[in-house]
Amino acid sequence: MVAKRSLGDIVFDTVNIVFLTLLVVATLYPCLYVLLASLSEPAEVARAQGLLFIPKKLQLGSYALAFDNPNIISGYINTIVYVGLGTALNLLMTLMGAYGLSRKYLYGRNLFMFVIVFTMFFSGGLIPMYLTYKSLGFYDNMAAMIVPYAINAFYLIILRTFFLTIPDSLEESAKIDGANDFTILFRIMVPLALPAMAVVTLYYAVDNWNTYLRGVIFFAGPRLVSDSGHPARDTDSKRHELAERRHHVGGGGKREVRHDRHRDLADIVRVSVFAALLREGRHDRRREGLRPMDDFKSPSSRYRPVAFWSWNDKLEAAELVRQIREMDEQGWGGFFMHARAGLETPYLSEEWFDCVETCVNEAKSRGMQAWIYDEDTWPSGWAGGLIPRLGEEYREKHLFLAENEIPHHPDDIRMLKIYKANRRYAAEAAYYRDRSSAYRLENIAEITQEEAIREHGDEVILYFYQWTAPLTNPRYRGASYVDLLNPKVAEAFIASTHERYKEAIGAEFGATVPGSFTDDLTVLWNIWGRKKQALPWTTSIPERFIARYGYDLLDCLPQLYFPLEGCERVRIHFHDLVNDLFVESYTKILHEWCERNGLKSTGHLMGGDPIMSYMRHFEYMQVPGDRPSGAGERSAARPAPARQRRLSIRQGRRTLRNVRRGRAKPDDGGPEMDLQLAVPEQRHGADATLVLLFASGGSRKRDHPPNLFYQQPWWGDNRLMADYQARVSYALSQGVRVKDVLVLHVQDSAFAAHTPLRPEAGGLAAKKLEKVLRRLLEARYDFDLGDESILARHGSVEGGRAGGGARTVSLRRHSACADDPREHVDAAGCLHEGRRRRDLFQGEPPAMVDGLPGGGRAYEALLQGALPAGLHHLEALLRSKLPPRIRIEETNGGAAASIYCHQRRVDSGYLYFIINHGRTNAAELLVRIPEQGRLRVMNAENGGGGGSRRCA
Amino acid sequence: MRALRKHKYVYFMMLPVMVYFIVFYYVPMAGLALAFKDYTLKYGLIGNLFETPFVGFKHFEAFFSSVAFKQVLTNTILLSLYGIIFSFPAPIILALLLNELRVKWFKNTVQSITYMPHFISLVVISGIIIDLTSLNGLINTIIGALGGQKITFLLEPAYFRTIFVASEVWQQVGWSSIIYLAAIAGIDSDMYEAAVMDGAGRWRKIVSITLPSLLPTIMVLLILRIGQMLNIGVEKIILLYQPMTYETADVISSYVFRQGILNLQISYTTAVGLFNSVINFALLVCANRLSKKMTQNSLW
Repeated sequence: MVAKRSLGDIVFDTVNIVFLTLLVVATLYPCLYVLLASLSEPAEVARAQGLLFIPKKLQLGSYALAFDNPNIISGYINTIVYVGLGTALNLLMTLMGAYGLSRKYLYGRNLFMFVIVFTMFFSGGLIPMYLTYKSLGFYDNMAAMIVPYAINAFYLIILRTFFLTIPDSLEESAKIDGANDFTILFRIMVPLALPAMAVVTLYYAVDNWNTYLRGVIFFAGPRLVSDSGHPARDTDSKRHELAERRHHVGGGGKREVRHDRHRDLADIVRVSVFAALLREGRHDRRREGLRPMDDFKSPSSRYRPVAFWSWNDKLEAAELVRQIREMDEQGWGGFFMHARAGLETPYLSEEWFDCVETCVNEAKSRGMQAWIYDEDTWPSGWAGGLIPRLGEEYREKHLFLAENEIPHHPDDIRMLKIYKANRRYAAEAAYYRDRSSAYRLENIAEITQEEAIREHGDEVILYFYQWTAPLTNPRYRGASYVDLLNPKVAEAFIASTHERYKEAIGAEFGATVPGSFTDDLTVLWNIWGRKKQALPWTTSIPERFIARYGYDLLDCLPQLYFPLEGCERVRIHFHDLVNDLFVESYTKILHEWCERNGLKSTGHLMGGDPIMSYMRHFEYMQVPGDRPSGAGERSAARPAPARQRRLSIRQGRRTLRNVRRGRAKPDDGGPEMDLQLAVPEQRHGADATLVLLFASGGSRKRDHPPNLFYQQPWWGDNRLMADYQARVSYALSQGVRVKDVLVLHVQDSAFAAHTPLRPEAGGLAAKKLEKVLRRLLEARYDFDLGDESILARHGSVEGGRAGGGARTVSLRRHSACADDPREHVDAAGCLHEGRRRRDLFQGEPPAMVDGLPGGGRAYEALLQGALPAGLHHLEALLRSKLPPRIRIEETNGGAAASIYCHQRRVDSGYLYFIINHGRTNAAELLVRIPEQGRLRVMNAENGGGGGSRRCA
Repeated sequence: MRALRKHKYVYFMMLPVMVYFIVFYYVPMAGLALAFKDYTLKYGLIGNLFETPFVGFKHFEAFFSSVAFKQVLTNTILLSLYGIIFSFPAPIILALLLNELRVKWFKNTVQSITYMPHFISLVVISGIIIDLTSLNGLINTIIGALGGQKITFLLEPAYFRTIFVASEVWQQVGWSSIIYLAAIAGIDSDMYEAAVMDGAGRWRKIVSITLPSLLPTIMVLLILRIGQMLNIGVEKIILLYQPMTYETADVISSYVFRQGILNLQISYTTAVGLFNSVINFALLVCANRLSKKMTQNSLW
C-alpha cells in the first residue's frame, strides 16, 4: 500500500489530515478559551476583540473567588464521595448480576434477562420514579444519590457478554478444588475480566462524576406548599373588529402612532376578569371580608379615572357643564382642563378663566375633581408664548456641533469653540453603525474663527456653539420653547399661569382642585430636525461646571460627541449637571410653589432620551407622574410600544415609593392611582386612552390620542369600565406594596455612552434595564427602582431596609452596556450603598467608576455574589436567596410569563392583584400563596366579594 | 431443587440484583397508574394508588388539549430529528476518516482529543456553551471582529436547536466513533486485499467493504436511537433553556421535570411521561421490525 500513491491518494490524505486537525482545534479551543478567560482579568477579556491565545493580564483571582464560595469545596467533596462509594456499589452489583446471568445453569435466566433488558426500553418515567424513591426514603440523603443508580442494565449486559466468553472449564475445575461461587467470581472471573471491568468502571465513574439531575431532583426539592390556589380565568370577550387608524401627530416631527382604540378597550375588558385576591391574616377570621375593603363595590370619586379633557374649540359654559355631567354619569371621577390644538377661546384670557371657574364649581357640586393643566397644548413651560417673548435668556438653548458649515442663522448662535481635525474613516465604522458619522478624529486642535475661514482641505472644521431658538416656531404660536435650565423661566411661568389660576380658583386648591399637571417637559426636543447634533444647554452651564467639577467644560466639548480619551467622565459630569439643573431650576421650583399653595404637582417628562434622568424629577412631584411620554412611540421603529410603556410606568410609580420613604408619605390614594394604576395596569391605557375631546370637528378629530368621550357609540357603557378601574384603583390604594428587590437604574452608564452622533448608544442601558425589569415581573418579583443620585442623597434614610424588612435583596446592574465594554461606568457613590446590603451583581463588574477606569478592583469585595451574564442566572440566584412570595403556574403548564402579580399588605392580611398582560393568551392559573388564612376572591368587574374559603 | 441448592450462592448473588430492578424499575411502572388518578399530597405513593379516584384519561386529554402539547412535542421531535440527521452520522464519518489515516501517532492523538469532551460533565459543558455564546464570548467576539451584529444566542429561540445539536456533535462525535472503529477493526483484512487485487481504489473499498460491514452496527445503534427518539436528555435542556426560549427548547422531559418535580402536578406529568414512554416503545418496536425486514439486523 505504501509503495505507490496516486495523486488522488495524496490529495485525499492531505484533505483528511487538514480536516482532522481542524476538528482537533475545534474540540480543544473552546476549552482552552474558557481556561484562558478564567486566568485573565475579566474586563480585559471583555475588551479583547479577537481570539485569546495567552491569558490577558494573568490572574488567579477568579479561582480564589470560586474557592471562596464554600459550596464549591463541599460540592467537590460530595462529588468525590459519590464517585467513590457509588462506583464501588455499581461494580459489586453489576458483577454479581453479570456473573449470575452468565451461568448457563441459572434457572429462569432468560426471564431474568428479559426483566432487566425491558427496563432499558420502557420505564415508569421521571415522576413515578421520583415518588417511589422518595417514599422509600431515598430523598435528601446520600443514599438517594447512590442506591437508585446501583446498576446500569447496559453495562451489566456488556460485562455478562464478556463472562460468557470465559470457558466453563475454568469454573468447573475451581469447583472441584472446592471453591464456592463467590471465590470463583472474585478470584477467577474478575482477574480474567479485568479489561471489561476497567471499561465498565470507567463508564460508571464518569456517570457518577457527571451526575446533575439526581442532585437537582433529590436535593433541590421544592418547598411543599399546599395548593390553595384559585384558577383565574380569562374570558374572551367580543372583539371589535375595527380597522386600524393612523394618527399623525403634530409637532414631534414625523411621528406616527398606530392605534386601535376599540381593541384597546376590548383588551381591558378581557383582562379585567382577573380576580383580586384578599388574603386575610389568621387573627382576623372573625371579621372576614368586612373592614379592609368597605368601599370596594363603589369607590368614591377619588379612586375613579380622571380624564384628560381636551378643550379644543370655542368653549361654552353650558356645553362644559353638560360634558361634566356625562363624565360623572359614566363613572369618571374628574378631569384635567387641558388646552389643546384647535382651541379658539384665548388661552389664559378672562374668558378662559370663566370657563375654568364654571367647571370647578360644577365639579364641586358633583364631588368630582378638577385638575389644572398648566399649558396651552404641550410641552409645559412657555405659557402659550408669553415666556419666550420675555427675552433671549428665556428661550430654549442647545449646544450644537456643526461640521464645516453652520446650519443656523448667525443671529441665533454664540460660538463657543472651533476645532480642526483629521477625519479617519476606519474599522470604527462598525462601532458607529451609522455611516454618516463613521469616523474618528485625529490631530484635533483648537483654532480661531479666522483660521476656520481660511483652512479647509481634507480637514474638518468643528464648530461648537450655543444656539438659541428664534421666535419663529409655529408650533409655539410663533414663539419658541423655553430654557427650562434657567430658573427665571419657572418663576415667570408660575407668575403667568399658576398665579392666575390661584386668583381664579385658589379657594378650591387642595379640595375640588387637587393639583396641577405639567406636561412633557424637555430640555432636548429639537424640532429643527438636527437633533442628532444637539445637547441640552443653558448659558450658565460652563460656570456651573467649573464650580462643580473644577475643570472647564469648554475645553472638553469634543468629548461630548466623540469617543476621545476621558470622554466618559466628561459626559457623566455634563449630563449629571444638566439633569440636576433641570430638576432644581424647574421641577423643584414648581414643587415648592404647589406645596405652599396646597396643590399636588404632577406631570411627566417627554420621553425618548436616555440622557434624561426622569426619576430625579419624581422626587419633586407630590404625585409623581406616569411614564415619560412617548417612551414607546418614539422608538416605534420597533413594534410593541405597549410593553415599553408599561415598564416606564412602573418606573415612575416605583420611584415614588423609593424616594419618598422617610420623607413625605406616598400620597394617600387619590387620583394618582387613576393615572398610575388603574389604567396603566391595563397597559394600553397610559395617557392615550384617557383623553376626552371637548369637540371633535375639523382637524381636532386627528388629534393624537384616541378619544373616549361621548362621541363614541359605546360611551353609554363606559361606566362598566370606569367602575372596574375605580375598584382596582381602590384596592391597590389599600395598605402598602410588598416588594423585596431594589433595582438600581444605571443612569451613569447611559450618560457615559451617549453621544448625539449615535443617540441609540445611551439607550442600550435602558433597554437592558427593561429586560431585567420585565424578567423580574415575569418571575413575580415586585421591585422598587432606585436612582443612583437620589440614593446618594437619601441613602442614609433608606438604611438597610430598601425592601421594607429583612427580605431585602438589592440588585444592581453595573454592566448595563455589557456588549460594549468601553461603556462600563458606575458612580462611586453607590459603593457606599453596596456595603450596607447584599448586592447581587450580574455580568461583568464595572470597568469604570465615575467615568474613570479601574472600577473592577474597587468592587472586588462585592463580587461574592457575582453572576455570569445571562438573566436566567439572575433569576436562579434570586430564587435561591429570596423564594418568591407567591407562585403562579398555568394549570396547563405554561410559563405564565404574561401574568404579573402585585402584592399589598393590608391591615388584616394580604391583597394580591393578579393580572394577565398578554394580549393574545388566555390562562388558567394555579396560584400558591404561602400564608395561611381565609381566602377571598374579589371581582373587580362587578365589585362582588366572591366566596371566601379557608385554606391552609 | 438439588440444582438450586448446588448453586445457592449464584441465586444469592442474583437476589439483590433482581430486587434492585423490581424496586427501582418495576414499582415505578406500577406508579404509572397515577396517570389515571388524581394525585393528592394527602396520601403517599401507595395511598394514592389505592385511595384516590380513577379519572380515566382526564390527564391525557388535558395534555393533548394544552398549549404546551404541540410545543413540547414539536420541539422534542425536531431536536431528535436534527440529532439523527447531524449527530448520528458524524461519528461514522469520523471513524471512516480516522481509519484512512496512515500516521499512527496522529490517529491516536485525534482520537484521544476528540474523546475528551465526552468526559466533561454536562454542567460544565453547558457552562462552556453559555460562556462561548455570551455577548462577550468567543462566538460574538468573532462576529464582532467581522463587523456583524452581536447576538444573545441563548436568549433567542431561533438558535437553541442549533446550539443544542452542534454542541452534542462536538461533545460526542469522538466517543461515539469508538464503536465504529472497533467494528472496522474487526473487518477481515483479506477482503481489502482481495479488493485491491481486483483494482479497487480507496473509495471503492469504503463503499463496498467498510460501509456494508458497518451496517449491522449502524442499524442497531440507529434502532436504539429511534427508540429513544422522545427522550431528549433533560439535563442539558434545563441547563440551557429559559422561559424566553421555551418556544423551541422546552421538550417533553423538561416539561415533565418542571411541572412534576417543581410544580408537583404529579398525575398530569405521570400521564405525560407515560405518553412519552409508550410512543418511544412503539417507535423502537417499529424500527426494529423495519430493520429486520430490510437489513436482517435487529435487537431481538
